[in-house]
Order: sequence, then structure tokens, then C-alpha cells
Amino acid sequence: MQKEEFLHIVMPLKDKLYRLARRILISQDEAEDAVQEVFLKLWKGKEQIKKYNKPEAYAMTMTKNYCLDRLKSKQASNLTIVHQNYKSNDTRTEDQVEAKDGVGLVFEIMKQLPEQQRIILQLRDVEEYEYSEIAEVLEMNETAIRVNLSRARKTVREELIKKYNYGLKKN
Amino acid sequence: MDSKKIEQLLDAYFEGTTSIAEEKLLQEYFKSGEVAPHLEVYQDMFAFFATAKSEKTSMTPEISETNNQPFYKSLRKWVAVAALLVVALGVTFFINNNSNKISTAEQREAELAFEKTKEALNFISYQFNSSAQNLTVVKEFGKSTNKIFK
Repeated sequence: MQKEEFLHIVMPLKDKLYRLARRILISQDEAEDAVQEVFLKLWKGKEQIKKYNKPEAYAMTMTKNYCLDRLKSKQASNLTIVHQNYKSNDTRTEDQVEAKDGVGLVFEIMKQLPEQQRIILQLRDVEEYEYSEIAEVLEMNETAIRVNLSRARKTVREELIKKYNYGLKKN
Repeated sequence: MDSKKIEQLLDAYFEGTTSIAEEKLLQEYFKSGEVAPHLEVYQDMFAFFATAKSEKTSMTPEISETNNQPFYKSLRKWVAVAALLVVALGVTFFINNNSNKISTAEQREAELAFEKTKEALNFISYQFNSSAQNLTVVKEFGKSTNKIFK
């Protein structure tokens, strides 16, 4: 496969892969690194991508797996956790702006969700995937996905209501 | 839109039973700005999804081998070739050297055997010659007996 052909297939997925990576890894830098890595992996296995009738699902699965691996190795090493703490004190101005409005609040709430639920919420409510597509990406059955999605949505709702009521009382 | 309908959709939404089309309706409703006060709490949630949808990265992934670590990659290739050459040369040299050693050892052995054989043959011929000289006496003896028994 030629480079142009490959880029033609893969480049349009760039932002989708990035959003998924960001949802899992939170940090913008790490998400960008992850996208870079996934692109390299896809390029290396470029002959394989032809076999999949949906390269998007294949790329998304790869991104999800890569990011979860990154998370695992991060949790395994103490050093990066220290680094993470340091980072959270010194968040990007962009993040700080986000955190001030309601949208940022949901962003914060989503951080608290288990990764699996976060990914499902991302794929369904942000990327608007059908359940069958999510099932393909996550290699899970659709019922389990529905259950997790419902749980994730409800958690977000509860947290929002808590914060909302707190705001009302305060005023 | 009718807030009753929206409430129903929301209930289904939180159970995970809405379709993509229905979820789009909810999106549209909360984007419209005419949200019933008791539903305002959900506005942020859908606003977040809308924001998250438009999130883009400014980075451009690079994939070409030549662009990505070109020196490292080509170096690796050439190191492999060089290593192969070294191994091949080493093996041939070793084999050559060893076979040379073997041949010289054999040669020496053969030479030794040759010398020994030569020596042995010389010894035999010397002994033979000296014995043959002694035979002249027998010849004389033969002559004398011939004279006597004529």
C-alpha cells in the first residue's frame, strides 16, 4: 500500500482517535503521543488494515488497547504517579478555563468514571456509534455495553444533580 | 419541543435504550436554549458532548519511515548487513585456517612416513647389496665344484 492511500484512509480518523485517547489518558500530550504511536502501528501493519472492512473500528480498537496499556504501565510505576500529581497542580490554562463552566464540570465528572464506562460514553454520546459498532471496537457484547452506558450516564447525572443542588443552596 | 416528550426520552436515555436519532433529538433540544427549568441540570451534560465532538488535535501524525527516525532505521539496516558480512568472513577465515592446519599436519605426517619408508628401503637395499657381495664367494665355490666334477 502506498503512503498516500494509507493516509487517505487513516488521516480522517486522526481527531476521533485523539478524542478517544484523550478520554482515556486525560492529558492532551499523552493523547497526542498515543495517536502518533497508533499511526505508526497502523502503518507497520498496513497490509492488515485492508483486510478489515472497517479500518475505523480497527484503528479505534488499537487506540483503546494502546491507551489502556499506557494507563496500566503508568499505574505500575511510582515515578509517573508522582509526576502526575505534579501535573495536576499545574494544569494547562485551557483545562482551567474548561473547569470553570458546566462543561468543564462534566469533564471532571467523566474523569472519575471507570475507563470502560468512559470509553463507552465517548463512543456513544460523542462519536455517535451504534451499539454494534461499539461492540466491534470493544470486543464486548451489546448488552454489556448498554448496561455500562446506562451506568455511566446515571453517574454523570447524579454527580451533576449533586453539584447543581449545591450551587442552588449556596446562592 | 414538548418537555413531556423530552422527559420520556431522557428516561429512556438513562436506561440506555434510546436510538442515535432520539439522542440527536435530545442534543438539539438542549442546544436550543429553550430548556424547561427542571431539565436545566442536564444541559451541561449535552453541552459537554457537543464540545467534545468538536475537539480536534493540531498535531499531525507522521508515518513515513524516511521521515521517522531515518538515520536510526537505515543505520540498523546497515549494521545488520555489516554484521552479516563480519560473520560470513569470520566463518570462511576460520574454516580456511583450520583446513590449512589440518593439511600441514597431514603433510608433515606424510613427509615423515615418506622419509621413514625411504630410510627403510635404503636399509634394505644396503643389506641386499652387502649380502649380494657375499654371494661372490658362493660363485667361486660353484666354479671350483664345476672344475672338479667335469
